[in-house]
Amino acid sequence: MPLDIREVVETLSMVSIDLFDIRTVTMGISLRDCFDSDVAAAERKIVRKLRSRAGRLVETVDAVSRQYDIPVANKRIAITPLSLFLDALPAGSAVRLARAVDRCAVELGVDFVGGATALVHKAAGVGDRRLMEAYPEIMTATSRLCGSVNVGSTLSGINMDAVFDLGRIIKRIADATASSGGSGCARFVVFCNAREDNPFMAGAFHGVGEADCCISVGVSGPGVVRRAVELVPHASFDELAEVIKRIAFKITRVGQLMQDEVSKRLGVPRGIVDISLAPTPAEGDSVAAVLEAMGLEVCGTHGTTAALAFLNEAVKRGGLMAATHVGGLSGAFIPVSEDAGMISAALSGVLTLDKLEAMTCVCSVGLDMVCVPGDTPAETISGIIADECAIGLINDKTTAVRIIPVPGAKPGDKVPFGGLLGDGVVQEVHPQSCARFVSRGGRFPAPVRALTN
Amino acid sequence: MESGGRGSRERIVVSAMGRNQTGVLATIARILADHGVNVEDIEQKLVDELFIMMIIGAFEKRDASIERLNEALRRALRPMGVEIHVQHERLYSYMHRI
Repeated sequence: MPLDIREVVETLSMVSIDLFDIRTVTMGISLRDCFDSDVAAAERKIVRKLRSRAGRLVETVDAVSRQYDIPVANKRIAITPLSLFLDALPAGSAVRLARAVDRCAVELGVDFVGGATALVHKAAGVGDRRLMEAYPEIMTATSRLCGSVNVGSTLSGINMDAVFDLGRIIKRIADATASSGGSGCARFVVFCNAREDNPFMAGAFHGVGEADCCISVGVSGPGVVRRAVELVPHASFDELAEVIKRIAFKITRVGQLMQDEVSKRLGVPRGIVDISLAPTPAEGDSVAAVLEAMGLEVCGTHGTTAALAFLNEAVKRGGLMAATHVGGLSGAFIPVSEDAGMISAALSGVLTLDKLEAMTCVCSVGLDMVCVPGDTPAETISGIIADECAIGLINDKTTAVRIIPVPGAKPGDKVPFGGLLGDGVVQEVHPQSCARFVSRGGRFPAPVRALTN
Repeated sequence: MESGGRGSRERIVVSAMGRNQTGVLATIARILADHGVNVEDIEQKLVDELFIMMIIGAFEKRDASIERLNEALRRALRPMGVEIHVQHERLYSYMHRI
């Protein structure tokens, strides 16, 4: 079928006007062949492996991006969880390995590396504890390495000891990076039901069941969806679902094309395409703006959870057909600081933490890039994590908390993080304590999978 | 789904949008010829003062490069207020064909 000029115009407007880009091409690299009980040897092997697999990643992605004239915002690497190295290494090795990976990221020109990760959904092992204790120092000593901890899963329950500890660890990371508004916390996330093939940061890591090396892609495109929704202001839900589904298909096809081309040129197998709608701080490239285009006066008002659920479903329907292997988080992201519409909704006081929590029941991840006052008690942060984990646990979905207790900040303050991380808005937390609840310790049992009311 | 079979010439889509004025098409055509692009199809539309054009072409030369062509076209047409893009045709077959 010959090409229609309208298809060309549509494609060009997506990029030029609606800020369409591919959010990330993420290379997953297994470091399982780099384990060693000598830290210098482990470091040497890691550096060699990263160079050998990702040496041509950035130039290749850039070349493919130019060939199709489609911007790719970030090039990233996801590695085998670093905690697995630390079981056999002395305490203190964590920071050394983290620095080595971070230096590699700079050398290879990638924007982020994910994988300073501990998987403790049942219990923390020796290596996990070593890594968790080192997070404040790691986040200070690195600039591109991201950390994540999986504290719960639907099959194993929630490790409440870890939830409790992480409240304190997040406060320590914020204090250690206080000069930049606690920005170390922007590279750190706590998960329930973490995905082993997620290409998005801060939570990317390369699971132990993954290939030696693979290429995954995270799409983006809220601006494009917003435009499509704006064009049908009076459409019924049936029609609107069709409109979003069609545009999500097109967006995802571009992601699939990027993955096909990059993996072919590098000779590396394909991983997954993550069909998430990932916003940027640019005006209009906003998930909140999509919800508002659907008919909400301000994101966060009544109807927001329903609108987000509808959007998420419609995006999945289009995306699933467009990609060979869909994976990762795949849904709409609601990172407050990274989304201009969320920022203004939070500043106006309409979008509260409580409403955000409700939205995380139906969106792709969880409380993301949320800023709270620096004097928020560690136990309150643990309570916020526990709430999110409970939502993920019961609903068998990924949930996460990426929270920044901004040192010295009060509710309503704005915190510039820069780049894709945008401007944080410090939001109010409830002053009433949950300390006695979160400090009980132990494990929250895995949920019943029947009687699902 | 890919345009042409194995070993076929690389096909590209050149698209331009901008203010209608004398010499735009001539400039594009000259640069395409310089880069060894054979024009296979061309379509142009005028919407008020805005003109939109699409050219489907194929590289005749083996060492041809989309990047170099894109650069040359942009250098010549940006001063005329014309936004121009060169993309491998595969992008469109991926996005718009099932």
